[in-house]
Amino acid sequence: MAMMPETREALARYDEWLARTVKSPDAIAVHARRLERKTRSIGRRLRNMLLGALAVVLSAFMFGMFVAPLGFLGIVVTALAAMSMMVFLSSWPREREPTLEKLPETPLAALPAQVEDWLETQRKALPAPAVREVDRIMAQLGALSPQLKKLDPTSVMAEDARRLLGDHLPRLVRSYAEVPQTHRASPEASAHFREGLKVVGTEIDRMTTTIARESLTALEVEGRFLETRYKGTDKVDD
Amino acid sequence: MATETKLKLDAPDPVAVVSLDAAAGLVPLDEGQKSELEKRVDAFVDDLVAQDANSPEFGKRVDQLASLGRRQIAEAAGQSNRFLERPVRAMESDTGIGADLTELRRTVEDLDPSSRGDLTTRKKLFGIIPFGNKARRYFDSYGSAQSHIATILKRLSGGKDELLRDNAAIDVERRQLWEAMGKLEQMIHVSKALDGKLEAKAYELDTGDPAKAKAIRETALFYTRQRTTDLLTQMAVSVQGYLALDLVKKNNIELVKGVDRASTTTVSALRTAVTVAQALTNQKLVLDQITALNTTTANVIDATGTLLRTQTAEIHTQAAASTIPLETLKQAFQNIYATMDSIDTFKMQALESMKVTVTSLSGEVEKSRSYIARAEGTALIEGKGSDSPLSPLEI
Repeated sequence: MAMMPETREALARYDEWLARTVKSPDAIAVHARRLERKTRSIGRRLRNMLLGALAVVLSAFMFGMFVAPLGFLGIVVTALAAMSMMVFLSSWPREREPTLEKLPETPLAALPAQVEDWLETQRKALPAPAVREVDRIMAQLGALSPQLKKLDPTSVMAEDARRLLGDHLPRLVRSYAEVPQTHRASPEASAHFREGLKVVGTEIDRMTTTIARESLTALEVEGRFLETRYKGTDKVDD
Repeated sequence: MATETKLKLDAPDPVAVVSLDAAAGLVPLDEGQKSELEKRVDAFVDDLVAQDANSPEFGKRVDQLASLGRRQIAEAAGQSNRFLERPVRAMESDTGIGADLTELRRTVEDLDPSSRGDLTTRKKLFGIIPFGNKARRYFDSYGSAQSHIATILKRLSGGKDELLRDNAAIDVERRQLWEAMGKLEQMIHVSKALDGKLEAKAYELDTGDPAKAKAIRETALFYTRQRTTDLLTQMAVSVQGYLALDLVKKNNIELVKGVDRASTTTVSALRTAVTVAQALTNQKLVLDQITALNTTTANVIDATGTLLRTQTAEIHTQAAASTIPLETLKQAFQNIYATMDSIDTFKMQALESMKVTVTSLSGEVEKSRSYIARAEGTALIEGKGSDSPLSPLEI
């Protein structure tokens, strides 16, 4: 259907406005997942701190039992040591910001989360309509992540996923970010960028389906086996 | 023996190489699909001709032609190579069913009355002094062998399940391969329609716009013809793989038959032994484990179960009525041997035809690999192929 140029422009403007103001369901889901990851990381830290302090107290107790009585000074030292241990563990191991250079070395299972984090840091620099595509890709990454964990890291599929997520996608985002600020908002740049993002999105979808299809096939085989084994639709003596 | 129908296991013939000309048209397309695809081809060609022959837009469309059916070829290739990855289970003699059958044969040979000399005479110490009853000693050996036989029979039944599961997997693979072949067929139809259409257009343009006619002939038509060959090659390999999978399935079915028959004849021989022992030595031979196993076998395979039931009934009457019950028992053992011999012969033939099939398919796959590589190369130029205007219809 042919569209009047004015209409097309108006639609594009509306799209942009929508993308800037309303958060897509994808973005909300991505945000929720980030929050969940953050909570888990805080929980892990808290546990480490508690265990660290406990280890200090326990070793002090052992020292007092078998080597020499602790005394007042010993207790003060223990308390100080436990406290500094907690302070230390609260920020160790340091959570590193994922960088483009490190992405190819990340293990495949952790790659989607890393890419997601990295995209999040780039998000502000992206044009408003493209943010939607990025959100969609981030949501897809969330679906792909548990499936990638099951994948044999040496398989062709894993290699493809690694190349797409660790190299091709970041390269696209980076080359967009390298476009000078003055030209980044041009329709040309954002059209190229969105086109590229769309292809990446389709490719991630295809991967998710392919991996899912393998389990579906396994399920179908089991069903078929039960059928021939017990129902005999496929007569053994035919 | 009259009760025994001769077991004949047929090894299917090896799968022959499918020629390129024969490859197309094996998966039928209906008229609706054909006209829909032709409509797409028409739209594509019209669009191509409308572009300036030197413009990047023209080049982009030619690139699409150069990677025509790339995804379909890759998919079908992945599917048809599956056959070569599939291990020829149960055909090797040192594992699984082969080993179990060998072990069963060894155990059964130990029990064979033919190998025990004359059982009706009394045993004599140093060949002179009468000592014990030979037949009684002979039937006692069943008691100790029965648990071993029961274990082997259970393992065989497990192996049979493996074969059935393999066949289920083959069914699913064949269904998927059929779908992939359907898509290939569509792409072949598309590329052939493109060929005709482009040729006609070029001819048409010869007078009006010879430069464009040349460009169409040298790029678009050239790539289309190349892709037609690629698609046909992959189709031939896929068809061959499809037939080869059927070969494996047929082999498995035959092997299942053989395993069933081996189990049945063994159980039947042991039952005969029970009857004969009663008649010969008035000895009550208790083979509970085997009898229990027989019931489960009979439940699972109804056909063989019925066969076994009628057979044993006849054996019972024969053994009881026969003046020479031992002959019946010997015959029962001969039946086991005959079954196992026919399985062995079958395996030899089947392995041979598998070998031929694997060799010819490997050669064809190797050939088609170079075509796939070519398609992958052009895919890099194009960058994507998913939303190409020339893709097969979803069924």
